[in-house]
Formats: sequence, structure tokens, C-alpha cells
Amino acid sequence: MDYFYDQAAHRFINARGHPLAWSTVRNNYRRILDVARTDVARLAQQLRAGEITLAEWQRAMAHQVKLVHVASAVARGGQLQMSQGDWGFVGGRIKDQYAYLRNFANQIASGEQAVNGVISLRADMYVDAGRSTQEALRRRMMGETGYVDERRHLGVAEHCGDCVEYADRGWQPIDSLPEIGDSQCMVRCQCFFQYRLPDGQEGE
Amino acid sequence: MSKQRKARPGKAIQWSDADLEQLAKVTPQDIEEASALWKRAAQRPLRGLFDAPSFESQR
Repeated sequence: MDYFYDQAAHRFINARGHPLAWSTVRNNYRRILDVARTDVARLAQQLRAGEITLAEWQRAMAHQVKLVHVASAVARGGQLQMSQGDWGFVGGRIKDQYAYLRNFANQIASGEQAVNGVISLRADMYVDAGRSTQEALRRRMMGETGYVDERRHLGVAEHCGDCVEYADRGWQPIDSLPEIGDSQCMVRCQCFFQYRLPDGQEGE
Repeated sequence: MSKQRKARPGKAIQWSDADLEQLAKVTPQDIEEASALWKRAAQRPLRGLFDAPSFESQR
């Protein structure tokens, strides 16, 4: 069944007009991340086995980083709803990840980061960073379309102290709570935001 | 037993900040690849979500 993006209601709807829950979109984005996670794990294994060079690994990692961030455009209603400004926003976040990746690669080259299983664990966090961007993109969109408050919900995970504290704050002005990924648990965070209109109507 | 290959990571690519800026730009090819990934990985009814047209454009 085909889906459309209802720009007035800020949600996907099917051909019969039935809305698609945002949680379903979010869960499907996790499936995208899982595919990238498999690819990133394979790359780390190849690097550890000496099957690819560090430069090859770095390039391939950069590709995966970009892919998960671009795929996060569903948070804005899909690629056709993305403005140049939105793509610039995503590009800025990709650039931040590339700077971390450059540092990571330099640490591997210098021996500061041993070629061991830690590489796999660290590399996996670059995939999770996509979820942070997805939430940030949605937050940006909700702010632009009239939502004024946000509330942080704890996802299904073991929660760090920061996330519990932020969730306990309840409704707050939009953009005032730390973004997803900006907690002790970093990009492993499974939290998400809910938004509210000035008249008190709660969105997803 | 086969001799295990020793990992030789080699040199990192020395990206400048300007390189990062350029590399991070989203291109039509990147969008195509992300679209293909959605079609491959999402649940069947939602595979076109990344490419969904706006409801308003269909009127």
C-alpha cells in the first residue's frame, strides 16, 4: 500500500487516509540501522583480519555514516519533503560524525586504538548516531510547524541517570531539553520526544 | 592450521576540515542509496516511505 505525507498533519497516511503512527516509522528506521550495523561489523572484522586497509575502512565507514543519516529523512516526511536547509542540517551532522571518524582512524593508525574488538564497538556507535539525527530532524520540523513544547520519553532500554532526569522534567519549551544522544548513554540512547501545540493538543 | 594474517591497518586518510565539509554534502546519489536501503530493509508496506509524495501534491 502506498503512503503519502500529510504536511498539514505532519504524519504519513495511507491511500485510505489512515495515519501511520510515528512509532512505526521510528521502528522501521531501526531496521535501516540494523542493516548498516551488519555492514559496519563486517568492515571492522575485515580491518581486524587485515583484509582491508585502514583507508579503505575509513572510506567505507564514511559511506555507512552518510547512508544512515540520509535515511533519517523520513523524520521530515521523506526525501520529497526535505528542503535544501534540511539537507544542509543533515550534512552538518554527517560532518560532525566524519570529524569523529577522522580522529578514530588516526587513533588506529597511531596504535592508540588497538586493532581489536573495541573497534567494532566504537564503529557501531556511528550507526546509532543516525537515530540521534532522526530525532533532531523531527524536532526541527515540529518546531517549524508550530509545536511549542516537548517531552522526553524513555525508550525500551536501561536508562542512564541523565535520561531519567530529562524525562522527569515533563513538558518543556521545544529545543530546551538536551537532544537525544547528549546524555551519559550518548548515541545508545533510546529516548524520543513527544510534542505539544500551544493549545495543549498533544502530538506524537 | 593456517597462519593467521596479521592486521596491517596502514595509514589513515588525512581529511582536512574542508574535505569533511565537501564529503558530508548530501548528493542525489546518496539519496538514491538511502531510498534503496529503505526499500530493502523496511517492513513491506513501508518500503516506499522514504519516497512518499506529499498528500497535498496528489490533490
